[in-house]
Amino acid sequence: MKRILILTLLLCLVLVSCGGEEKNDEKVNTPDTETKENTVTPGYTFDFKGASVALDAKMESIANTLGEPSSYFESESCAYQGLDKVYSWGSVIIRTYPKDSVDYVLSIELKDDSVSTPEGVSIGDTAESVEAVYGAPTEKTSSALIYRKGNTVLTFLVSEGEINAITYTRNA
Amino acid sequence: MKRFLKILLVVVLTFAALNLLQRLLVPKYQTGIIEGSMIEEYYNEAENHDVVMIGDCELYENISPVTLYEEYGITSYIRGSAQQLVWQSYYLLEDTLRYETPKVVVFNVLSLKYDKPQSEAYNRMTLDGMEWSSAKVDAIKASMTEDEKFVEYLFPILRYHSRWSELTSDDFKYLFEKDLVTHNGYYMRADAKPCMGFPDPMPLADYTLGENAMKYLEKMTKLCKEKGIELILIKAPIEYPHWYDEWDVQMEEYAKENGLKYINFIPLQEEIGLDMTKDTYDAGLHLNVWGAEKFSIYFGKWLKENTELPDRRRDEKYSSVWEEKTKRYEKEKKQQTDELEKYGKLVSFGANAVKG
Repeated sequence: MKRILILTLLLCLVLVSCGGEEKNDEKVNTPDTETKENTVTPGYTFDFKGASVALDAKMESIANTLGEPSSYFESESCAYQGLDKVYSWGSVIIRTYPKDSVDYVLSIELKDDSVSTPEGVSIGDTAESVEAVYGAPTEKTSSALIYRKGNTVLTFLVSEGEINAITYTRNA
Repeated sequence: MKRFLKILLVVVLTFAALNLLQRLLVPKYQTGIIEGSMIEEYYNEAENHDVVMIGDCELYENISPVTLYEEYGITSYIRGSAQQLVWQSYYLLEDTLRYETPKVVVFNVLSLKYDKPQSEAYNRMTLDGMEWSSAKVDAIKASMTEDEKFVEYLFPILRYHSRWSELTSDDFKYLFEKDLVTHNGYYMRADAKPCMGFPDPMPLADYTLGENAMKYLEKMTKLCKEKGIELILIKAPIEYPHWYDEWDVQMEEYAKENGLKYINFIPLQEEIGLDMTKDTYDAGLHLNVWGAEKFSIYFGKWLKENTELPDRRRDEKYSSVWEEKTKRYEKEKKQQTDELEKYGKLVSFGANAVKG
């Protein structure tokens, strides 16, 4: 009987310790929200106030370079899975997502013509000028020119032939 | 023969020990993050419901089934969970229909903005609590993110085996039995944090709701029709995350094409009587119990006027069950208001229950 119990115990230990890959567990008894390492594939970046802002980059160092935002909003996600944050510097809005207690850049939105993409396109430019700079878009609709590169989707929203919004979002 | 019995004994003992270990290691969701307990609580229900609501936090934090019963005699249950995706809602509907066939199913449409699996943590909170059936198998397959494996849902110990170093007293206390954390699926919060406004929504290149998401809404519509259930689509009276006008138009068109009722409650906040400086506990993302009761009174009236739901308050089969539910509901409401009076904040509920 003793041998059976020892054998059972050993079997359990082997099965439990060998089973499944090791994943990072979150603080409060839930599995991690994402398990892959945060790989930053080169995509489009946006230069602003001396900072090169890339999607999936850590927000902390970017926020330090950019200084105090003109407005800031945060919202707790359901079941306390972290804070979604929205930083606004007037012409530029950066949204972040949390992962393992670190904030990463989720999206960048250009609001007016006081800023432009590093390639030189601003709100108010024509759709033709975008194609002259960036070439043929990955996708083109009646209201948008969409360029996909690495982890980035760079979208130029078009109204009556003019760019009225520019966004950098994650290439899902 | 003796050798065979010995092997059998080892196998049985191993499975029993592993089962016990698994029970110990899986998260209990009884304190702080309670959302992971919501789905399984449904299976404790003794009586059927005339209304079953399926969807995300916009249902389980904003609608009080106890109020619906007290005010209108509507018996209801919210099969809600955090960031519940539409394919999960569909399979939860399939799962629910194994036990009962309600007269009305209510689905909150916000989750249609997601077209593909999002997060393991949220998946777990919805899927782990489902009882095993083909609906659960299909729900897991439809929900898994790239890193997830089906076998880890089948044997959760494979996913949670490293939790041994994080075990708390809750893991032992709730090893075999858990407390109820909701009131027929409703998550109660009595505290208040005023809404101070929201950032402008980001413009989108394409406002078309995803093909995959709409496919599951269509499946839900079809299943309800087959079972003679009235499906009602709602958008809860919550402004953030933003519900785009373009999405609203698509919902209106979908409802019209399929002969369904769709009601967007966002523009009706004032008519409902919601004061978002007082009726929300997290700055406007979810209602507190005072807001949820106001919304439930309004929604219940709408349900009574637009469907043929019976008043069960004089039906003895239901009244004794709901009397108990109401008592428990009022008791928790008092506990929370007492804590707010004494400490100025909740200490035994929500995140503070963990932070201490």
